[in-house]
Amino acid sequence: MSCAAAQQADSRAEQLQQQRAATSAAPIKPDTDVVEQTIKWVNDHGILTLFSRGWRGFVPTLGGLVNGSGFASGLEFLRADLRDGNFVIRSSARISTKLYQLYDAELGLPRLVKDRAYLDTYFRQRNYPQIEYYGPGPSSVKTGRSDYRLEDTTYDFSAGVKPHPRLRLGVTGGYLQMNVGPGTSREFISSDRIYTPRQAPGIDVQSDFLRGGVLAYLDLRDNPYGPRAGGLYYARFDYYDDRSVEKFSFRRLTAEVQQFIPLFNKKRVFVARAKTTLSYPGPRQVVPFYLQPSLGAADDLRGFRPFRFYDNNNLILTGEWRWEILSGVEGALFVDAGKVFPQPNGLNFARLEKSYGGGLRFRTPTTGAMVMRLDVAASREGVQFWFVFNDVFAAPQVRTGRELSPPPGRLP
Amino acid sequence: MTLRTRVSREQRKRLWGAFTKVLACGLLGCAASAQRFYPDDPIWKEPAPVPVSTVQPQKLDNLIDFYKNTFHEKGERHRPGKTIPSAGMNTLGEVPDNAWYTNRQRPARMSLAQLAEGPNHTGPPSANSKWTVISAKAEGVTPGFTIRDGAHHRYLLKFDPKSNPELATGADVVSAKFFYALGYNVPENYPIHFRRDQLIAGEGVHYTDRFGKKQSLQGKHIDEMLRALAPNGDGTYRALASLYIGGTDVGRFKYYGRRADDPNELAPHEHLRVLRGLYVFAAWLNHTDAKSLNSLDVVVDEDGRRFIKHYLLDFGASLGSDSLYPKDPRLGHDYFLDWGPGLVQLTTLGFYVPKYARVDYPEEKGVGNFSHQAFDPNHWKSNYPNAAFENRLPGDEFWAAKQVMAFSDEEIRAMVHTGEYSSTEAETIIAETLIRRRDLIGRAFFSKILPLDDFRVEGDRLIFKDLAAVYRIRSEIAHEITWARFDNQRGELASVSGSADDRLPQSALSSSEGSYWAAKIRDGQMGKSVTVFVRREKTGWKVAGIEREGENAWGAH
Repeated sequence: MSCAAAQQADSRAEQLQQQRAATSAAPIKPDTDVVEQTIKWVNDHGILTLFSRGWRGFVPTLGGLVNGSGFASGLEFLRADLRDGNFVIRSSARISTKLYQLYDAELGLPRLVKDRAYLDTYFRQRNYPQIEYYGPGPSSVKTGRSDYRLEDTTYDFSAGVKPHPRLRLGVTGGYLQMNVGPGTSREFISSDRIYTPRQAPGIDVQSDFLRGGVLAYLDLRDNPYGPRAGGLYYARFDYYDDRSVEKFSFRRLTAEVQQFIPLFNKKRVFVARAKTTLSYPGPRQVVPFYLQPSLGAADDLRGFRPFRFYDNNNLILTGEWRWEILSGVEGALFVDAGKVFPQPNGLNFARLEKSYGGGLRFRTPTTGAMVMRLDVAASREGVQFWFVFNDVFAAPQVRTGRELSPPPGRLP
Repeated sequence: MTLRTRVSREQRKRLWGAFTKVLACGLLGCAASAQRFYPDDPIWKEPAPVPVSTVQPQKLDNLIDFYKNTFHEKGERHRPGKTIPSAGMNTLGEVPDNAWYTNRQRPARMSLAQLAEGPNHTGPPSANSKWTVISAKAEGVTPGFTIRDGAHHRYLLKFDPKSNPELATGADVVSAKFFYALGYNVPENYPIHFRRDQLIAGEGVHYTDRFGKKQSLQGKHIDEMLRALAPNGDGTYRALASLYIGGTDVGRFKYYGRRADDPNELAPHEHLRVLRGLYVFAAWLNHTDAKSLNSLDVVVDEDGRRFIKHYLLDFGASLGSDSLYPKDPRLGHDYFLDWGPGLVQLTTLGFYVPKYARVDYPEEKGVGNFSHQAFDPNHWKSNYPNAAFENRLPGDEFWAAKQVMAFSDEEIRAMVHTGEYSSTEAETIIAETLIRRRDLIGRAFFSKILPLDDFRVEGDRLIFKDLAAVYRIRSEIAHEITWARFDNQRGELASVSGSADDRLPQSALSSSEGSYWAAKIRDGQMGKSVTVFVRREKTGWKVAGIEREGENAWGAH
């Protein structure tokens, strides 16, 4: 109560009225600052909407290329609204600071037969000028680093059924045109200058492939964007038929299990993943080095450089302990173990390379989708820092007509 | 949009006169000290509002509100040695009826039927005719519609997440009933069930589909949006129908500062008891989304005066619900960005598991994550800092806690019943959780100041209740009472010797009309006291004011 009002008023009611008069005449400082004005400007001009929804189907994108490509960005065109979402058109163009390029286009029918089936066609062209190569097999050495240019063009289709909303059974087919060439790095030697065709099959001759396969995909995770419980189970069998030089035909089996074990009301999650790729070359055939599975980088053996190990087969085991720090921010401690090996019968737990580390994950508070990931990992070859935009436990690529971006981080 | 209302020349002259007098006194200083109590104290209703003149709609943005409250300390805050007492209350510490608040539990407590009815006087949308969809929202996880029924009433239809039927709609209905009974202005929320054919697309209605595409609303779009919902077994859909609030929408209120265009606001919002005390109610109901965006200011015309009335809105993120999914167990315990607890989590690598993560939440889908287990009324938090909540003082907490404690088990069960949960188990869990959280609130806030209340003079005795004993928080104890004469002009107390019980001293009984007397009631165990001021009136004695020791002790939580 002000003394002035007290002097004048005869009652509380009168005092309040006087105070109202005095208060309403008092000026009020503007309540704004530069950050607020910036946010307001960004909102008013639809900048956030531009990134989340795009403009007439065009959306700016970040990342989406392989590890080691540098910072990548691009533009995507997506129309998922056609025929009430039953027909999807998508196309994108991306380029990175190291001039890695990717162009792709996709037509999808994701909800055929009352959402029981799907069909997808996909075209992609990549030009990656500095893919790292350290030589073949598990005994390759860090000092053997070289680089090569990978250029490929794919024309793929994928079709399948969904007997249950969480289960997909599909077939795939397509044509792959490959070209490898000298790497453009100034720091490292080009692969073709230090590795022979015997060590790196296919380095001297280009080939085209007809490929086809079958797959099964069961997704029992609680939230596909930011899972904290459930599991994901995936198996795929492909045949690569060399249509050019008839030296590189092979069959390939890929299997992956991810299990999310929630603890303490899902505020802690232990994630375990086992993944293997096994290759079975035909008689007198070999797997070309550029189609060999690799290990190393932000998505598998995080303590090693990208593509540190190549061979016909690989195995990766990952255990990650995640805990919530703030809304949308998680901490993680992880152990990766894995190896590449020449023959499928080498699939065992002997002589695994290991890496250990920790990191932070930034997620959207609403869906839990990964926004970015910072990881630091150590191995016998030193320490690696990763700043990426994808989840280490990203779901395997199953094109059901609804793909929104090419799978990052992996080559084949 | 700008609203202009006429302020008469006489009103302007009166206001200006008052302002200049106040200004002059402020500049020249006051020769005499102010009287503490006025003859009309305590007032239970503020004087009729000053009509508003120009009202500028106040636009708020979710992201900006989050940024400002998270990264800035908004509003005036207490500082060591400088506590800012609460405002907007009478001399008893109660909030009088005003544009924010209505004392609905006095003079008589609301009946069970009134509590269950709450603000719902209009009724749900009439099923006698079709409902015309006049706007629709397809974005987000669940759709939303605005409809107009045959009686031309507008309702907002909100739905539950597919995974948790009745979760958000139940919370919105039940919490609105509680906030209404507690005195706040809230919308009329109805749980309803309807069939698809009840809805028709309005003509010329534009809406933005889930792909962000604007188009003219058609029946097939309504079908598409309803597909995102889980229908009941009989094919009907459950929704919350929230009646549009009458008056002219002039934006949201902030929990700090004050509107420049509202002459009836006497203090910044962060100091208002009605908002500081709201902390306790929000904590009780787990209304973690208590933010400016969930409020509404409307210009209304009541009793011939146009003024700004303040509403609380959208309780879908209360109880165990977070509107689109069950409440994240962390919410209510930490802010979205809570640097201290975050640092603890970061450095302990997740091996320190906070209490909220160890709570055993019920399995009932309609309940979500709602429990009393980790509930600490002193440390409950909204989703992000709220200036009024952070400024709360023990006096605000006591004011709110005694209202929470006044709800009987039976009343709570009756109000939860209005959520129309299909599962009896869900209804029971919510009611029992509220009962347990209520009791925790009493224990927490009745221990900071001496919880005596309901003072009156009967004959020559001062009567009061010890709320801690009434609610069996502790057993009844004898209080020490000393009397003094109070000089209302000078604000001085003069002890009366030989008076040490609840009887008014002889000198008071023979005193003249308009004299003031004070009883200091002390609890030796607690080491706290309450001073009650009584005034001699023509017809007897009236309690003029209450002063509670420790009510302004900042930092008590």
